[in-house]
Amino acid sequence: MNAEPRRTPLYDLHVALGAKMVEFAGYLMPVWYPSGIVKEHQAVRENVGIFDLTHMGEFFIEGPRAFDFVQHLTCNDVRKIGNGGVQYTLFPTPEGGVVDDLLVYQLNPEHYLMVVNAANIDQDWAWVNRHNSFGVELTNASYAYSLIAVQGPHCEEVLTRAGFKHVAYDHPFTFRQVKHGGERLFLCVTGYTGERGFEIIVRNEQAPELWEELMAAGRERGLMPVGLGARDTLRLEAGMCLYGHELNETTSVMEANLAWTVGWGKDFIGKEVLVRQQREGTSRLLFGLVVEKRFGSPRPGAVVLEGGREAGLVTSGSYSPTLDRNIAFCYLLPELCVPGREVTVEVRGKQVPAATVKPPFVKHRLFLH
Amino acid sequence: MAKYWFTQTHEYIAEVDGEYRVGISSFAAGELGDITFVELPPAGASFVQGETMATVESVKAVSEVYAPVDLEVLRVNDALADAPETVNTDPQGAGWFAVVKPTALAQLEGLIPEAAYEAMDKETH
Repeated sequence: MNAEPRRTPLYDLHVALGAKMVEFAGYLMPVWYPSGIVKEHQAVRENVGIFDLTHMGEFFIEGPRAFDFVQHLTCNDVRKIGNGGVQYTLFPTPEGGVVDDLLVYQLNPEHYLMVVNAANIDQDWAWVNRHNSFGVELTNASYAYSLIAVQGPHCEEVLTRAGFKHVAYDHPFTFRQVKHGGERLFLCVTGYTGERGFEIIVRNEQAPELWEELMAAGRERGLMPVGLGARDTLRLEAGMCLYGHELNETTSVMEANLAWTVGWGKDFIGKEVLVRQQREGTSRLLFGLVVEKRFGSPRPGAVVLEGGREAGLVTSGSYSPTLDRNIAFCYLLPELCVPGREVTVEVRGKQVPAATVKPPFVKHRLFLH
Repeated sequence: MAKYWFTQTHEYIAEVDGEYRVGISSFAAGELGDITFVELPPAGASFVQGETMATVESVKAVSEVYAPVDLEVLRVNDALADAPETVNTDPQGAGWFAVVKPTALAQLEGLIPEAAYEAMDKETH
Protein backbone atom coordinates (compact mmCIF):
# COMPACT_ATOMS: atom_id res chain seq x y z
CA MET A 1 0.00 0.00 0.00
CA ASN A 2 1.72 3.09 -1.22
CA ALA A 3 -1.35 5.27 -1.28
CA GLU A 4 -0.91 8.82 -0.05
CA PRO A 5 -1.81 8.85 3.67
CA ARG A 6 -5.17 10.39 4.52
CA ARG A 7 -5.44 13.59 6.50
CA THR A 8 -8.15 14.08 9.09
CA PRO A 9 -10.16 17.32 8.95
CA LEU A 10 -8.06 18.43 11.95
CA TYR A 11 -4.72 17.96 10.19
CA ASP A 12 -4.00 21.67 9.75
CA LEU A 13 -4.88 22.35 13.39
CA HIS A 14 -2.44 19.70 14.57
CA VAL A 15 0.33 21.12 12.41
CA ALA A 16 -0.42 24.61 13.73
CA LEU A 17 -0.12 23.23 17.28
CA GLY A 18 3.34 21.91 16.39
CA ALA A 19 2.41 18.23 16.45
CA LYS A 20 4.80 15.61 15.22
CA MET A 21 2.76 13.85 12.56
CA VAL A 22 3.34 10.20 11.72
CA GLU A 23 1.62 7.76 9.43
CA PHE A 24 -0.61 5.39 11.34
CA ALA A 25 -3.16 3.05 9.77
CA GLY A 26 -3.08 5.02 6.53
CA TYR A 27 -3.59 8.38 8.23
CA LEU A 28 -1.21 11.17 9.13
CA MET A 29 -1.85 11.44 12.86
CA PRO A 30 -0.31 13.47 15.71
CA VAL A 31 1.94 11.21 17.77
CA TRP A 32 2.75 14.01 20.20
CA TYR A 33 2.63 17.79 20.52
CA PRO A 34 5.54 19.96 21.66
CA SER A 35 4.92 19.36 25.36
CA GLY A 36 5.63 15.66 24.88
CA ILE A 37 4.03 12.32 25.72
CA VAL A 38 4.62 12.46 29.48
CA LYS A 39 2.97 15.86 29.97
CA GLU A 40 0.07 14.90 27.71
CA HIS A 41 -0.35 11.67 29.63
CA GLN A 42 -0.35 13.51 32.96
CA ALA A 43 -2.85 16.08 31.65
CA VAL A 44 -5.36 13.27 31.05
CA ARG A 45 -4.76 11.67 34.45
CA GLU A 46 -4.86 14.96 36.37
CA ASN A 47 -6.84 17.49 34.30
CA VAL A 48 -8.17 16.81 30.84
CA GLY A 49 -6.92 16.07 27.33
CA ILE A 50 -8.37 16.17 23.82
CA PHE A 51 -7.65 13.57 21.13
CA ASP A 52 -8.25 13.36 17.40
CA LEU A 53 -9.31 9.75 16.81
CA THR A 54 -10.78 10.32 13.38
CA HIS A 55 -8.82 7.40 12.01
CA MET A 56 -11.18 5.00 13.80
CA GLY A 57 -13.74 3.37 11.49
CA GLU A 58 -17.53 3.72 11.67
CA PHE A 59 -19.97 1.21 10.20
CA PHE A 60 -23.74 1.61 10.34
CA ILE A 61 -25.94 -1.49 10.31
CA GLU A 62 -29.59 -1.09 9.52
CA GLY A 63 -32.49 -3.43 8.87
CA PRO A 64 -35.13 -5.61 10.51
CA ARG A 65 -32.48 -8.23 11.33
CA ALA A 66 -29.73 -5.86 12.47
CA PHE A 67 -29.92 -7.26 16.01
CA ASP A 68 -29.47 -10.85 14.76
CA PHE A 69 -26.56 -9.75 12.60
CA VAL A 70 -24.74 -8.10 15.52
CA GLN A 71 -25.43 -11.09 17.78
CA HIS A 72 -24.01 -13.47 15.17
CA LEU A 73 -20.79 -11.53 14.49
CA THR A 74 -19.82 -10.35 17.97
CA CYS A 75 -19.11 -12.36 21.11
CA ASN A 76 -20.72 -10.03 23.64
CA ASP A 77 -24.49 -10.20 24.11
CA VAL A 78 -26.07 -7.04 22.83
CA ARG A 79 -29.13 -7.83 24.96
CA LYS A 80 -27.07 -6.51 27.89
CA ILE A 81 -27.53 -2.98 26.54
CA GLY A 82 -30.60 -1.04 25.49
CA ASN A 83 -31.17 1.79 23.07
CA GLY A 84 -28.47 4.38 23.72
CA GLY A 85 -26.15 1.74 25.12
CA VAL A 86 -22.55 1.05 24.09
CA GLN A 87 -20.79 -2.29 24.42
CA TYR A 88 -17.14 -3.37 24.16
CA THR A 89 -17.07 -6.52 22.10
CA LEU A 90 -15.04 -8.47 19.54
CA PHE A 91 -15.43 -10.15 16.18
CA PRO A 92 -14.14 -13.66 16.89
CA THR A 93 -13.02 -15.94 14.06
CA PRO A 94 -14.52 -19.45 13.83
CA GLU A 95 -11.26 -20.63 15.44
CA GLY A 96 -11.74 -18.30 18.44
CA GLY A 97 -9.17 -15.76 17.23
CA VAL A 98 -9.91 -12.06 16.90
CA VAL A 99 -10.71 -10.16 13.70
CA ASP A 100 -11.02 -6.94 15.69
CA ASP A 101 -12.20 -5.46 18.96
CA LEU A 102 -14.82 -2.74 18.70
CA LEU A 103 -17.61 -0.78 20.31
CA VAL A 104 -21.22 -1.45 19.33
CA TYR A 105 -23.77 1.36 19.76
CA GLN A 106 -27.45 0.46 19.76
CA LEU A 107 -29.60 3.21 18.26
CA ASN A 108 -32.44 0.70 18.27
CA PRO A 109 -32.59 -3.04 17.60
CA GLU A 110 -32.81 -2.35 13.87
CA HIS A 111 -30.01 0.21 13.80
CA TYR A 112 -26.47 -0.08 15.15
CA LEU A 113 -23.18 1.75 14.86
CA MET A 114 -19.85 -0.06 15.15
CA VAL A 115 -16.60 1.80 15.84
CA VAL A 116 -13.65 -0.32 14.74
CA ASN A 117 -9.86 0.01 14.73
CA ALA A 118 -8.39 2.20 12.03
CA ALA A 119 -5.88 -0.40 10.91
CA ASN A 120 -8.68 -2.93 10.43
CA ILE A 121 -11.28 -0.92 8.53
CA ASP A 122 -10.77 -2.80 5.26
CA GLN A 123 -10.56 -6.25 6.83
CA ASP A 124 -13.59 -5.57 9.09
CA TRP A 125 -15.60 -4.20 6.19
CA ALA A 126 -14.88 -7.37 4.21
CA TRP A 127 -15.74 -9.47 7.30
CA VAL A 128 -19.13 -7.86 7.98
CA ASN A 129 -20.07 -8.04 4.31
CA ARG A 130 -19.02 -11.68 4.01
CA HIS A 131 -21.25 -12.60 6.97
CA ASN A 132 -24.26 -10.56 5.98
CA SER A 133 -26.76 -13.36 5.48
CA PHE A 134 -29.26 -11.23 7.37
CA GLY A 135 -30.05 -8.79 4.60
CA VAL A 136 -28.95 -5.78 6.64
CA GLU A 137 -27.86 -2.56 5.00
CA LEU A 138 -24.19 -1.87 5.75
CA THR A 139 -22.68 1.59 5.41
CA ASN A 140 -18.97 2.30 5.78
CA ALA A 141 -19.08 5.87 7.13
CA SER A 142 -15.43 5.82 8.22
CA TYR A 143 -14.40 8.59 5.86
CA ALA A 144 -17.43 10.81 6.57
CA TYR A 145 -17.12 10.97 10.36
CA SER A 146 -14.52 12.35 12.72
CA LEU A 147 -14.02 11.27 16.33
CA ILE A 148 -12.87 13.67 19.02
CA ALA A 149 -12.27 12.39 22.56
CA VAL A 150 -12.17 14.54 25.68
CA GLN A 151 -10.74 12.49 28.56
CA GLY A 152 -9.79 13.26 32.13
CA PRO A 153 -11.29 14.39 35.44
CA HIS A 154 -12.43 17.78 34.07
CA CYS A 155 -14.07 16.44 30.94
CA GLU A 156 -17.62 17.36 31.95
CA GLU A 157 -16.71 20.96 32.63
CA VAL A 158 -14.99 21.31 29.27
CA LEU A 159 -18.01 19.99 27.39
CA THR A 160 -20.40 22.14 29.39
CA ARG A 161 -18.33 25.25 28.71
CA ALA A 162 -18.32 24.35 25.04
CA GLY A 163 -22.11 24.57 25.10
CA PHE A 164 -23.17 20.96 25.56
CA LYS A 165 -26.25 20.56 27.75
CA HIS A 166 -26.80 18.08 30.61
CA VAL A 167 -23.29 16.74 30.44
CA ALA A 168 -22.78 14.10 33.12
CA TYR A 169 -20.60 11.09 33.46
CA ASP A 170 -23.31 9.23 35.39
CA HIS A 171 -23.74 6.46 32.85
CA PRO A 172 -20.54 5.22 31.24
CA PHE A 173 -21.03 3.21 28.05
CA THR A 174 -24.05 5.17 26.88
CA PHE A 175 -24.49 7.72 24.12
CA ARG A 176 -26.95 10.36 22.99
CA GLN A 177 -27.54 11.99 19.65
CA VAL A 178 -27.53 15.70 20.40
CA LYS A 179 -27.66 18.90 18.40
CA HIS A 180 -24.65 21.12 18.70
CA GLY A 181 -24.22 24.21 16.56
CA GLY A 182 -27.34 23.17 14.71
CA GLU A 183 -25.82 19.86 13.66
CA ARG A 184 -26.49 16.41 15.01
CA LEU A 185 -23.66 14.43 16.55
CA PHE A 186 -23.10 11.42 18.78
CA LEU A 187 -22.08 12.30 22.33
CA CYS A 188 -20.70 9.10 23.83
CA VAL A 189 -19.73 8.42 27.44
CA THR A 190 -16.80 6.25 26.43
CA GLY A 191 -13.03 6.25 26.27
CA TYR A 192 -9.89 4.15 26.37
CA THR A 193 -7.80 5.82 29.03
CA GLY A 194 -9.14 4.57 32.37
CA GLU A 195 -10.33 8.10 33.15
CA ARG A 196 -13.74 9.72 32.93
CA GLY A 197 -14.27 10.91 29.41
CA PHE A 198 -16.39 11.46 26.37
CA GLU A 199 -16.04 10.66 22.71
CA ILE A 200 -17.83 12.74 20.12
CA ILE A 201 -18.58 11.37 16.67
CA VAL A 202 -19.25 14.19 14.23
CA ARG A 203 -19.50 14.73 10.49
CA ASN A 204 -16.11 15.73 9.09
CA GLU A 205 -17.34 19.20 8.13
CA GLN A 206 -18.17 19.94 11.77
CA ALA A 207 -14.97 18.60 13.29
CA PRO A 208 -12.56 21.57 13.07
CA GLU A 209 -15.03 24.01 14.62
CA LEU A 210 -15.90 21.58 17.40
CA TRP A 211 -12.19 20.95 18.13
CA GLU A 212 -11.54 24.67 18.42
CA GLU A 213 -14.58 25.20 20.66
CA LEU A 214 -13.41 22.43 22.97
CA MET A 215 -9.83 23.72 23.01
CA ALA A 216 -11.06 27.19 23.95
CA ALA A 217 -13.48 25.81 26.54
CA GLY A 218 -10.72 23.81 28.21
CA ARG A 219 -8.01 26.43 28.29
CA GLU A 220 -8.60 27.40 31.92
CA ARG A 221 -8.71 23.77 32.94
CA GLY A 222 -5.33 22.97 31.43
CA LEU A 223 -6.79 21.02 28.51
CA MET A 224 -3.96 19.68 26.36
CA PRO A 225 -4.09 18.11 22.93
CA VAL A 226 -2.93 14.51 23.26
CA GLY A 227 -1.34 12.43 20.52
CA LEU A 228 -1.32 8.72 19.78
CA GLY A 229 1.83 8.27 21.88
CA ALA A 230 0.10 9.15 25.15
CA ARG A 231 -3.07 7.39 23.99
CA ASP A 232 -0.97 4.23 23.95
CA THR A 233 0.64 4.77 27.37
CA LEU A 234 -2.77 5.63 28.87
CA ARG A 235 -4.49 2.52 27.52
CA LEU A 236 -1.55 0.33 28.52
CA GLU A 237 -1.59 1.62 32.12
CA ALA A 238 -5.36 1.03 32.12
CA GLY A 239 -4.75 -2.58 31.05
CA MET A 240 -6.66 -2.25 27.80
CA CYS A 241 -5.85 -4.36 24.76
CA LEU A 242 -4.62 -2.91 21.50
CA TYR A 243 -5.35 -4.81 18.33
CA GLY A 244 -2.15 -5.89 16.60
CA HIS A 245 -0.44 -6.23 19.97
CA GLU A 246 -2.54 -8.12 22.52
CA LEU A 247 -5.12 -9.19 19.95
CA ASN A 248 -4.87 -10.72 16.50
CA GLU A 249 -6.27 -13.66 14.57
CA THR A 250 -4.07 -16.09 16.51
CA THR A 251 -4.91 -14.85 20.03
CA SER A 252 -8.13 -16.11 21.50
CA VAL A 253 -10.71 -14.08 23.36
CA MET A 254 -10.15 -16.36 26.36
CA GLU A 255 -6.36 -16.03 26.31
CA ALA A 256 -6.76 -12.24 26.30
CA ASN A 257 -8.77 -12.48 29.54
CA LEU A 258 -11.81 -11.12 27.76
CA ALA A 259 -14.22 -13.83 28.93
CA TRP A 260 -16.28 -11.02 30.45
CA THR A 261 -17.13 -9.92 26.91
CA VAL A 262 -18.55 -13.33 25.99
CA GLY A 263 -22.30 -13.78 25.93
CA TRP A 264 -22.46 -17.50 26.74
CA GLY A 265 -26.23 -17.55 26.37
CA LYS A 266 -26.30 -16.85 22.63
CA ASP A 267 -24.80 -18.25 19.44
CA PHE A 268 -22.06 -16.44 17.55
CA ILE A 269 -19.11 -17.13 15.25
CA GLY A 270 -16.35 -18.86 17.21
CA LYS A 271 -18.48 -19.83 20.21
CA GLU A 272 -17.64 -23.54 20.09
CA VAL A 273 -13.92 -22.92 20.46
CA LEU A 274 -14.41 -20.40 23.26
CA VAL A 275 -16.70 -22.79 25.17
CA ARG A 276 -14.04 -25.50 24.88
CA GLN A 277 -11.31 -23.11 26.03
CA GLN A 278 -13.43 -22.02 28.97
CA ARG A 279 -13.77 -25.65 30.02
CA GLU A 280 -10.22 -26.82 29.31
CA GLY A 281 -8.23 -23.65 29.82
CA THR A 282 -5.61 -22.23 27.47
CA SER A 283 -1.85 -22.63 27.28
CA ARG A 284 -1.21 -18.94 27.91
CA LEU A 285 -2.96 -15.91 29.37
CA LEU A 286 -2.50 -12.20 29.05
CA PHE A 287 -0.89 -10.75 32.17
CA GLY A 288 1.26 -7.84 33.27
CA LEU A 289 4.92 -7.22 34.11
CA VAL A 290 6.59 -4.41 35.98
CA VAL A 291 10.26 -3.63 35.40
CA GLU A 292 12.20 -1.11 37.45
CA LYS A 293 13.00 2.13 35.69
CA ARG A 294 16.74 1.62 35.59
CA PHE A 295 16.46 -1.52 33.46
CA GLY A 296 14.57 0.12 30.59
CA SER A 297 11.36 -0.96 28.97
CA PRO A 298 10.51 -4.37 27.52
CA ARG A 299 9.19 -4.06 23.98
CA PRO A 300 6.86 -6.25 21.89
CA GLY A 301 8.44 -9.61 21.12
CA ALA A 302 10.64 -9.66 24.23
CA VAL A 303 10.94 -13.14 25.73
CA VAL A 304 9.95 -13.76 29.37
CA LEU A 305 11.88 -16.44 31.28
CA GLU A 306 11.11 -18.10 34.58
CA GLY A 307 13.80 -20.23 36.21
CA GLY A 308 15.56 -20.33 32.85
CA ARG A 309 12.59 -21.73 30.90
CA GLU A 310 10.64 -19.77 28.33
CA ALA A 311 7.51 -18.51 30.04
CA GLY A 312 6.01 -15.84 27.81
CA LEU A 313 6.19 -13.14 25.19
CA VAL A 314 5.70 -9.37 25.55
CA THR A 315 2.98 -7.79 23.39
CA SER A 316 3.21 -4.14 24.52
CA GLY A 317 5.67 -2.39 26.76
CA SER A 318 6.41 1.16 27.74
CA TYR A 319 7.55 3.51 30.41
CA SER A 320 4.57 4.29 32.62
CA PRO A 321 4.42 8.01 33.43
CA THR A 322 2.03 7.41 36.34
CA LEU A 323 4.12 4.68 38.01
CA ASP A 324 7.55 5.97 36.92
CA ARG A 325 8.44 2.36 36.09
CA ASN A 326 8.24 0.24 32.98
CA ILE A 327 5.18 -1.88 32.36
CA ALA A 328 4.34 -4.54 29.83
CA PHE A 329 1.55 -6.80 28.69
CA CYS A 330 2.67 -10.36 28.00
CA TYR A 331 1.21 -13.73 27.15
CA LEU A 332 2.36 -15.91 30.02
CA LEU A 333 2.08 -19.53 31.19
CA PRO A 334 -1.20 -19.66 33.16
CA GLU A 335 0.48 -20.91 36.35
CA LEU A 336 2.56 -17.71 36.45
CA CYS A 337 -0.49 -15.45 36.16
CA VAL A 338 -0.57 -14.51 39.81
CA PRO A 339 0.78 -11.21 41.13
CA GLY A 340 4.29 -11.04 42.52
CA ARG A 341 6.02 -13.86 40.67
CA GLU A 342 9.65 -13.11 39.91
CA VAL A 343 10.61 -13.62 36.28
CA THR A 344 13.06 -12.07 33.86
CA VAL A 345 12.33 -10.32 30.59
CA GLU A 346 14.47 -9.31 27.67
CA VAL A 347 15.29 -5.62 27.44
CA ARG A 348 17.60 -4.68 24.59
CA GLY A 349 19.04 -8.17 24.35
CA LYS A 350 19.59 -8.75 28.08
CA GLN A 351 17.37 -10.52 30.61
CA VAL A 352 16.42 -8.17 33.47
CA PRO A 353 14.33 -8.79 36.60
CA ALA A 354 10.56 -8.30 36.36
CA ALA A 355 7.58 -8.99 38.59
CA THR A 356 4.18 -10.19 37.45
CA VAL A 357 1.18 -7.97 38.13
CA LYS A 358 -2.49 -8.26 37.31
CA PRO A 359 -3.59 -5.51 34.91
CA PRO A 360 -4.77 -2.79 35.07
CA PHE A 361 -1.43 -1.30 36.06
CA VAL A 362 -3.18 1.93 37.09
CA LYS A 363 -6.68 1.75 38.58
CA HIS A 364 -9.53 3.15 36.52
CA ARG A 365 -11.10 6.25 38.00
CA LEU A 366 -14.45 6.41 36.30
CA PHE A 367 -16.38 7.61 39.33
CA LEU A 368 -15.68 10.47 41.70
CA HIS A 369 -15.19 9.54 45.31
CA MET B 1 33.21 28.48 22.47
CA ALA B 2 32.24 24.89 21.74
CA LYS B 3 32.66 23.55 18.25
CA TYR B 4 30.25 20.89 17.01
CA TRP B 5 30.40 18.27 14.28
CA PHE B 6 27.37 16.11 13.44
CA THR B 7 26.71 12.75 11.79
CA GLN B 8 24.01 11.77 9.29
CA THR B 9 22.49 9.76 12.15
CA HIS B 10 22.28 12.88 14.37
CA GLU B 11 25.02 12.28 16.91
CA TYR B 12 27.38 15.10 17.65
CA ILE B 13 30.94 15.37 18.84
CA ALA B 14 31.81 18.72 20.39
CA GLU B 15 35.13 20.23 21.35
CA VAL B 16 34.50 21.96 24.68
CA ASP B 17 37.28 23.34 26.86
CA GLY B 18 39.85 21.09 25.26
CA GLU B 19 37.84 17.88 25.61
CA TYR B 20 35.55 16.04 23.23
CA ARG B 21 31.94 15.30 24.18
CA VAL B 22 29.56 13.01 22.38
CA GLY B 23 25.77 13.28 22.47
CA ILE B 24 22.70 13.47 20.27
CA SER B 25 21.57 16.57 18.42
CA SER B 26 18.64 18.76 19.42
CA PHE B 27 16.88 17.49 16.32
CA ALA B 28 17.35 13.86 17.38
CA ALA B 29 16.19 14.56 20.93
CA GLY B 30 13.08 16.24 19.54
CA GLU B 31 12.37 13.31 17.24
CA LEU B 32 12.68 10.77 20.06
CA GLY B 33 10.26 12.58 22.36
CA ASP B 34 10.39 12.18 26.13
CA ILE B 35 13.56 10.29 26.98
CA THR B 36 13.21 7.90 29.91
CA PHE B 37 16.43 5.95 29.90
CA VAL B 38 19.99 6.22 28.63
CA GLU B 39 22.40 3.29 28.63
CA LEU B 40 25.99 4.49 28.56
CA PRO B 41 29.19 2.54 27.89
CA PRO B 42 31.79 1.96 30.62
CA ALA B 43 34.78 4.28 30.82
CA GLY B 44 37.67 2.79 28.93
CA ALA B 45 35.53 1.21 26.23
CA SER B 46 36.63 1.74 22.63
CA PHE B 47 34.41 2.01 19.59
CA VAL B 48 35.03 2.35 15.89
CA GLN B 49 33.15 4.95 13.88
CA GLY B 50 29.54 3.85 13.36
CA GLU B 51 29.54 1.26 16.14
CA THR B 52 26.74 1.37 18.74
CA MET B 53 28.11 3.05 21.86
CA ALA B 54 24.91 3.91 23.76
CA THR B 55 21.16 3.35 23.72
CA VAL B 56 18.44 5.92 24.27
CA GLU B 57 14.94 4.97 25.23
CA SER B 58 12.02 7.31 24.93
CA VAL B 59 8.43 6.55 25.82
CA LYS B 60 7.81 5.38 22.28
CA ALA B 61 11.11 4.26 20.87
CA VAL B 62 14.52 2.76 21.42
CA SER B 63 17.43 4.26 19.52
CA GLU B 64 21.02 3.31 19.12
CA VAL B 65 23.67 5.99 19.40
CA TYR B 66 26.62 5.42 17.09
CA ALA B 67 30.19 6.49 17.67
CA PRO B 68 30.70 9.54 15.45
CA VAL B 69 34.41 8.74 15.08
CA ASP B 70 36.79 6.06 16.35
CA LEU B 71 37.04 6.82 20.02
CA GLU B 72 37.80 5.73 23.55
CA VAL B 73 35.38 6.62 26.35
CA LEU B 74 37.11 8.62 29.10
CA ARG B 75 34.07 9.18 31.32
CA VAL B 76 30.29 9.24 31.00
CA ASN B 77 27.59 11.62 32.17
CA ASP B 78 26.36 9.78 35.26
CA ALA B 79 23.74 12.46 35.89
CA LEU B 80 21.69 10.98 33.04
CA ALA B 81 20.94 7.87 35.12
CA ASP B 82 18.66 9.87 37.41
CA ALA B 83 17.71 12.61 34.99
CA PRO B 84 17.52 11.17 31.47
CA GLU B 85 15.14 14.03 30.58
CA THR B 86 18.20 16.32 30.49
CA VAL B 87 18.79 14.91 27.02
CA ASN B 88 15.48 16.54 26.00
CA THR B 89 15.97 19.82 27.80
CA ASP B 90 19.62 20.43 26.89
CA PRO B 91 20.83 17.81 24.41
CA GLN B 92 23.83 19.73 23.14
CA GLY B 93 24.80 20.98 26.61
CA ALA B 94 24.17 19.26 29.96
CA GLY B 95 22.66 16.27 28.14
CA TRP B 96 26.02 15.07 26.77
CA PHE B 97 26.64 11.31 26.94
CA ALA B 98 30.37 10.83 27.21
CA VAL B 99 33.72 12.57 27.18
CA VAL B 100 35.85 10.73 24.68
CA LYS B 101 39.28 10.64 23.16
CA PRO B 102 39.01 10.50 19.36
CA THR B 103 41.61 8.04 18.14
CA ALA B 104 41.47 9.16 14.49
CA LEU B 105 41.04 12.92 14.60
CA ALA B 106 41.09 13.20 10.80
CA GLN B 107 37.64 11.59 10.79
CA LEU B 108 36.19 14.86 12.08
CA GLU B 109 36.69 16.32 8.63
CA GLY B 110 34.26 13.76 7.25
CA LEU B 111 31.49 14.88 9.61
CA ILE B 112 28.94 17.64 9.05
CA PRO B 113 29.95 21.06 10.40
CA GLU B 114 27.41 22.83 12.61
CA ALA B 115 26.21 25.41 10.07
CA ALA B 116 25.71 22.75 7.42
CA TYR B 117 23.89 20.50 9.88
CA GLU B 118 21.54 23.29 10.92
CA ALA B 119 20.76 23.97 7.27
CA MET B 120 20.30 20.30 6.38
CA ASP B 121 16.83 19.01 5.51
CA LYS B 122 16.64 16.37 8.24
CA GLU B 123 13.08 15.24 7.69
CA THR B 124 13.79 13.47 4.41
CA HIS B 125 15.01 9.94 4.82
